[in-house]
This record gives sequence, structure tokens and C-alpha cells, in this order.
Amino acid sequence: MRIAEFSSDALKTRLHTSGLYTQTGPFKIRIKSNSRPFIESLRFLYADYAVLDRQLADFHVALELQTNYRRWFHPQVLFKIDGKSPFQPFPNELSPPLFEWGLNWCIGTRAHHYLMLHSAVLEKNGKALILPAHPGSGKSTLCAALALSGWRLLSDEFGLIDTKSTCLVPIPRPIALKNESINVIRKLFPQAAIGPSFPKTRKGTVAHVRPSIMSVDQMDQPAQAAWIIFLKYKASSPVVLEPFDKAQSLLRLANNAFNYEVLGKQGFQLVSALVRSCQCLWLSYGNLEEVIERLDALDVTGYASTIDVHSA
Amino acid sequence: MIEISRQTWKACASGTLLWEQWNGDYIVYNSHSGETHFLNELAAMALKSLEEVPCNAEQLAKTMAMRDSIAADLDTPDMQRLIEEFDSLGLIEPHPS
Amino acid sequence: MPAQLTYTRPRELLLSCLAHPSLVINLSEIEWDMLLPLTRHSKLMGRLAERLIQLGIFNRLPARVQDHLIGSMRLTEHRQRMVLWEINRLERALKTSGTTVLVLKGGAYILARLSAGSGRLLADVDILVAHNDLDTIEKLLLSQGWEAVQLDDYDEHYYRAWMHEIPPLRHRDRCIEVDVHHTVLPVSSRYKPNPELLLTEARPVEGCQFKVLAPCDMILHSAAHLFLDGEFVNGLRDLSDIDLLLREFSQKDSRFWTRLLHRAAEMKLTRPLFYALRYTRRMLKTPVPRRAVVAAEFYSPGRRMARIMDALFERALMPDIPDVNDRWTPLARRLLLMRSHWLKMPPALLAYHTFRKSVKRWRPSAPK
Repeated sequence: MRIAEFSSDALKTRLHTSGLYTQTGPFKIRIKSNSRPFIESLRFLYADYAVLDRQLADFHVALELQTNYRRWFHPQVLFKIDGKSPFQPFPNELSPPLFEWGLNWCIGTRAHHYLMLHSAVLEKNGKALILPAHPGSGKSTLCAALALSGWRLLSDEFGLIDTKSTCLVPIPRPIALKNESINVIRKLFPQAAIGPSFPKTRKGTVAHVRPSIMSVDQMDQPAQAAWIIFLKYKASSPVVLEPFDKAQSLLRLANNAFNYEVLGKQGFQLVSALVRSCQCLWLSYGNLEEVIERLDALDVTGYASTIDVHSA
Repeated sequence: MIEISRQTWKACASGTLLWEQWNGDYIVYNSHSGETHFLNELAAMALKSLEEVPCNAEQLAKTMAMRDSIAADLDTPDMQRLIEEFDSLGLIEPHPS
Repeated sequence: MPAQLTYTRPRELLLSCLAHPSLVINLSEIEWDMLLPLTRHSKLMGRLAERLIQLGIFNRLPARVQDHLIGSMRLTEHRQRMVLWEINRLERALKTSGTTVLVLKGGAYILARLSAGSGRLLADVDILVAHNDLDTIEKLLLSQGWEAVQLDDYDEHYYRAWMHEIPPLRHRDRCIEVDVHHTVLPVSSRYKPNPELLLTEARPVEGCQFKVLAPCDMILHSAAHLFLDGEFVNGLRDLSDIDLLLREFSQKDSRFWTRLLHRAAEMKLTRPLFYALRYTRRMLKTPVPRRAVVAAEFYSPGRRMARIMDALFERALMPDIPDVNDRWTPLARRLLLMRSHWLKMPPALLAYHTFRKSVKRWRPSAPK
């Protein structure tokens, strides 16, 4: 059974009472909530996710309306894990983005049996592409664009590296778009399933793209990394894709991981194994259509031809 | 003016430092401090030499000069500075000799 | 031992698994679902994981349980690495000072390679130095990159004059806090163990120039803080520390219990020792010989009082999550906090401190 198969009322009852069990990648999550905006967004953004039976949950999370006097004129919601709240309350209407941030926090602070890169990860023909996050990189925008152009979304936020195989483990979740990029993606991909916009969050306006049913259904299939691409978005500049220094790549990837330090020696060995086995590239771009074409061609031509195009 | 010490140094016990290298760029992971450092070729050569044989600044300058012509320009004060840098990062420790 | 256990109450489940870790092999997935958050919020998941590895049963656990335990071991290893590195840097900074430095609590358990050190989650470094060396050490550290963690003037004065600490220090390149103590309990406390006694009995450790407390003192120090400080954020972890120390030391030394009781009298810490033995036995099933139990009974606050303290401590020592809290837990915690202030400070000072705290709470915070 998928979440979308619930009627609105049945989903509400389940979230109010025993809680809903679902799964993203390796993590099973039990969710309870009485926040209406969250329940609606769950039904839309997580439509294709499986409904599981009661079992060992990796995370017990809840979005609970606060019961103090404020609920009458300005209802607020708390994100809870194991019944305790690590954050300040949020206005109730922001409960959908709060759920995404809260769950990211839970994974990032606990799942140290993986190396967790702060990256978007996509896959095509069995080869995975790692796009490390960096302010101004436009990672999520490019990630959404690729996910809507035939690449399989493994994650918009976490490059989960299996510590034994160094494979990338999928953890598909809605892609968070910010500010201008929401309209860019809407215009370029009118068919995209994008949830409502939430203005005035601490990251500006946020909206979420629903992951494709293909990426949800293949969430148990890891992929081997082939490319690590450091991004720089520059408005209306041509696409430049060129090899990037390996030692610098290692340092950047380590710096950008959520738990490189926590894993110690193992963290160093995993990051350096990734850098050794992947092509490390630098990409600056100003146009999404052009960059998608170039990245689609990566698999066939490698990066060598792209340098020729650039220098020509 | 840098003060030259007769102190002998050695790199941390074997297995403590993990190396990675591409062309002339070296990265070393110090499993005691949990920190990752980027080293250029000369610094890496000096640290590797301290992994093999404990020595003081003067001896290190000589060893380096024998191994590499560029390093021949480096004198004992340079090595003393490098040793102090390594020491402050915990990559080396004093060797009782 | 029953082959199959079914636990419906989280409290029972957590305490039995800590007392007899090998029992976890029989747990169902649903029981693990209850147990994992309990161990995590008790800060005992890493310790349980290490124990299960030592017992050779880790590999027989469900894969998803192993994942959580591995994750928590990575985190404790990381914290331990940072703490050991801070100790290494402190050693380097104080090398030529000729002072004696004792590492306390978690750092000491790790340095001394005690079973209480394996999988022990910790955050700071605590060191004990002679009062006379305090200035030298503070100056040496301040001149080598450590900085006082910012406090306001009142808190700073409170720390220095009435508490047992100088404000915590932190090196500018690192994130571990170093607490430099010169006595084990607040200067103004009613319990006044003599720190000289601790320093003269200190034990060397292999591979480090710093020392650690002697076995009996280690237990008394931990007991004094746990049962007098009034804060139980890590209550069950600290009780588990005492449990493991008692088990290990009593096995190594046949006269341990006599020594411990004698030392408690010498240090004037008999009441905290009474509580430590009572609650490690009641909650974690620590094996304590009958004659030691009888002897410690002498330091009981009286049968009726002990029952009241049971109701308070047995609630406050559990992790603070809804699964194990009942309606009386918040009150128990509040009463124990009030008791600790009473024990720490003379009444007039207590009134002044509470007044300052409440004034500060109501003052709008200054713009930063």
C-alpha cells in the first residue's frame, strides 16, 4: 500500500493515533502528527512511499501542535524525536518544511554507520553523480532539473556512502527548491509535481518537488559513484566542465560531509577511495537546459570532449 | 631571528599518519588529532623523513638537501620553522636522544 | 534465567538490559524499538554496544539494530578521540610547569583503561590541580591559545568565589571545554572533602604524564557529584559508571569494600556512598557483599527518609524522555535540584543566588 491510497481522513486518523510507518532508503520512520498542513503535504509529496506495518523504527518523529494559549490565534508546531524536541516551535503553516529539516537533523546526527556527504546524488545507467553542496552552487536546482530529465534521484541532501562497499545508498526525499529556482523549475518542467510555496522561512521561500515514482520504487538499489562535480552557478555564463584537482576534491568533499570527523580514519579512507575512483570535475553554468545536455553526454564521452568544446 | 634548537623530533608512531598523494600534492590524516592537512612536496618530504629517522632541524636541512635540489635552498631556520609548525599540529613529537 | 522475556515497561527493559547485557539476544524487534531510544537518551548506547562486542553476541543481533549501535560507537570513538587529543595538548602545554594534574571522570576512565571507559560518551575534559598551582596553570594555558568561555561578571564571580572551578577554558582551534577544578565539591558546600588527600593518593597512568584518582576516590568523587549536584542530565550514565567501577575494582582487590568504606569516612562522603551503593544495587544489580551493605546502612538518612529519596532518585536517575517519565518525575527533579542548592551554599548565599538568577531571567536579554 502507498500513502496516496489513504483517504485524507484515514491518513489523518492514522497520524493522530498509532502513527504511520514508512521508509526512505534504509531508514524506517514512524510519524505522528496533528498538524493539518503537514498531513496534506505528506499525502502529496510522499504519495508513492510505502505504508509499512508496525516494526522497529529508526526514527520516531512527531509534528505536534502546541497546546498553549497561542493555539487560538497563532498555532505553533513542535518537531519531536523520541518525544523530545531539539528545536524551537515553528508556525503551524510551516510544518511541511519543518518535517524535512527535522528529519535531516535526525539522520545527520545519528546515522554514523554511513559516511554522510552533504550532496545531491543522481544516477543514470548504473553510474552515480555526486553534486556536493556549496553556497551559490545551485545544487538543488540542478538536482531537480536532472531528476525531471530521466536521472534517478538518490538524494537531494545526503550522499550516504556504505562503509563496506563505498556504494551510494539512495534516500529519495522531496527536493527543496528555494526562491527564484522554484519558478525556473516550474517553467522548464511544467509537468513537475511541486508542492505549495512556503514564504518567510529562514531560507527564504521554499517549495518541494515530489520525487518520481521510479526513484521511490528503486530506493533499495545502491549505485557506484562515477563522478564528483563541484558546481558554480553564474547567471548567463556558458557551461564549462573541466577536470578538478584530486587533492582539492578530497579536502572539499571532507569539509562538506556531515560526519567526516566522526568517522575518523574510516572517514579519510572512504573519501579518498571515492576521489580515487571517480572523475572529479568542476562545472560552472548559467543555463539548465545546456548543462543537462552536457551531463547526459558524460556517460558516453567522458569529460574530455567537453574541454575541447570549451576551448574551441 | 629564529632560535635554533638541538631538540630531536620524530613523527608520531607508525600508523598514526595516513597519506594520500596526487602529483606534488600531499594530504595527511593525523589519527590522533582527527585532523586532515594539505602539504606541499617539500613539507611532505620533511615529514616523511621524520617518520623514518628522528632528527633535529640542522640534520633535517641536510637530509632534505641531499634528497632534492630545490630543498638545497632551505636552511636550518626554515627547517626549525617547519618543525615548529609540525609540532603545533601534533604531527611530530620530541624524541628523547 | 527465562529464555524469552517480554517487557512491556520501558524502565524495566532498560534496567535489565544494562544489568545483564547478554539478555538482549532474546529481544524481539518491537522490544529493540523501545530499548534503542532509551539507551540513546541515557547516553549508554555506545557502552552497551561495546559490552555486546566483548560478550561476543554483537554479530547475532538484527542488522538494523547493529546499524544503530555502530553509529553510536562511531560517535563515542570520535568524542573520545577529541578528549584524548585535548589531554595530549594540555600535557604539551604544561610539560615544563612541574605541576601535578589529575584527569577526572570519563577522561580518567579512558586513560586508566577501565571498563567504564569503553564506549563512554563524554564531552569535556575535567582536571584537578592543587590550589597553589591554579594560577600557574591558568596563565600557562591562557598564553598558549586557551581562552575563557565567555561568562558574565556575576557568573564569573560565582564560579571563582563560591564554586570549585575557574571558568571553563577552550582552545581557540578546538571545541572541547576544559574544566579546571581545585577541589572536588563547591568551596561553600557542606561536604568538604580535602583535595590534598586526593592528590597525594593519585595514581600514574601508562603513556601519559597526568594522573588519575585512586580507585576508591574515583568512586567517591563520582558518587559525590551524582548525589549532591542535583542535575541528572547524564544520571543513568553516571550511575552505570559507578556500577562498572565497583564491579572492576572489587574483582581486582579483595579488600576493596573495606577500603572504600574507610575512605568514605575519611573523606566525609559517607552519605553519597550510601546512595551510590543503594541505587547501583537497586537499579543495576551491582553485586555488593552483605557486610558492605550492612556497614553502609549505618550512613543511611533513616528508613523513612531513604524511602522518600528512593521515590526521588529512582525517577530522576532515568533518562528524561516521555517513555519513562511519570506524573511525579518533574517534581522529583525539581526537589532534588532545590536540595542540591541547599547542600551547596549557606542559606543567605542561596537566597542571593536565586534572586540574581530570577532577576536575570526576567531581564530582557541585551542586544548582541
